[in-house]
Amino acid sequence: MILLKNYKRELLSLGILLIFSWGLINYAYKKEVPISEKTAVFSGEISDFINANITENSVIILKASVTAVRGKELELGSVISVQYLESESQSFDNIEKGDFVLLKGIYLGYDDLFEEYKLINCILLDDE
Amino acid sequence: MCMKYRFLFYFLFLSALVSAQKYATRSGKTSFIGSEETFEQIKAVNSVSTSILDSSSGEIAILLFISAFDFDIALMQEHFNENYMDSSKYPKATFSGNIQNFSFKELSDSEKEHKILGVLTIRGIEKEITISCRLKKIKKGLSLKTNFNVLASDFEIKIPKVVRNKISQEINITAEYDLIEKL
Repeated sequence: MILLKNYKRELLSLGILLIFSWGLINYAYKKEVPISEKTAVFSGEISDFINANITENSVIILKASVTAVRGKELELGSVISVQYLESESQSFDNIEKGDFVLLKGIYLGYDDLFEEYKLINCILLDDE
Repeated sequence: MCMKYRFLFYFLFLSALVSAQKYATRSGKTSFIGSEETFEQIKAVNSVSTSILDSSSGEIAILLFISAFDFDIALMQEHFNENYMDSSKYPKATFSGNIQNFSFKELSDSEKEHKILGVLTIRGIEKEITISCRLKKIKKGLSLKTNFNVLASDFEIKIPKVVRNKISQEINITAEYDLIEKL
């Protein structure tokens, strides 16, 4: 108790410093919000997506047919390239050409080299 | 063979020949290190870089989306995109160049050094560069590896005084692409 009385100011400063440091570390090392929890700015089919003029780096939900499966990439409607997270490999493994999929991912932009739209970090959604 | 069918035959033959001369990837790995070995090193990987190589001429084009660089720390990624690269205004970085003395036939299973002369475009600023790369033949294509440095100031990437001792002016870039025959 005597110690607490004598060093009241120092202990208070130390407490504030600890709280501030904890807040700072939490801010600096905040985890990225998983794609499943991010809000999509667009939800629809390919034709609507192309006409929608969506900003790059936006989260979108797309319903489309798979026109090609290239290893760990899918092609939708012959104009969209889809790449998914390693953690999602299992759910994408069974997808075949011709399947209809509902997926959520980040729209990166238009790839001028391959002349296609690019989606990354995609996850499959349940189509009910 | 009548003229119409002969023309069709030549057309199909030439189309097959032209398509067989292109090698491409949609999942090239491009990484960079932008700091010295510090407590939290500034490094990131872009695993969705695209590239196309014309094997008849040695011409190569690379495109990558800046926002696809993945950092270990989310806040670092946010600062990289917003404060340094301005990725909403300049979403892409590109490189187009020519591999000197390139001959696909002469490639083998062991790596061979080549020079690439080309133009690197970052933040809309073009810079002519010459880089060394290592090429080797792989199944259905070729592997390209390169490591080179660029100056942040060449692309008007402004580093604030307060972090100047943490972020180096010289950025080390590494690229590893497996280019597969484009059908």
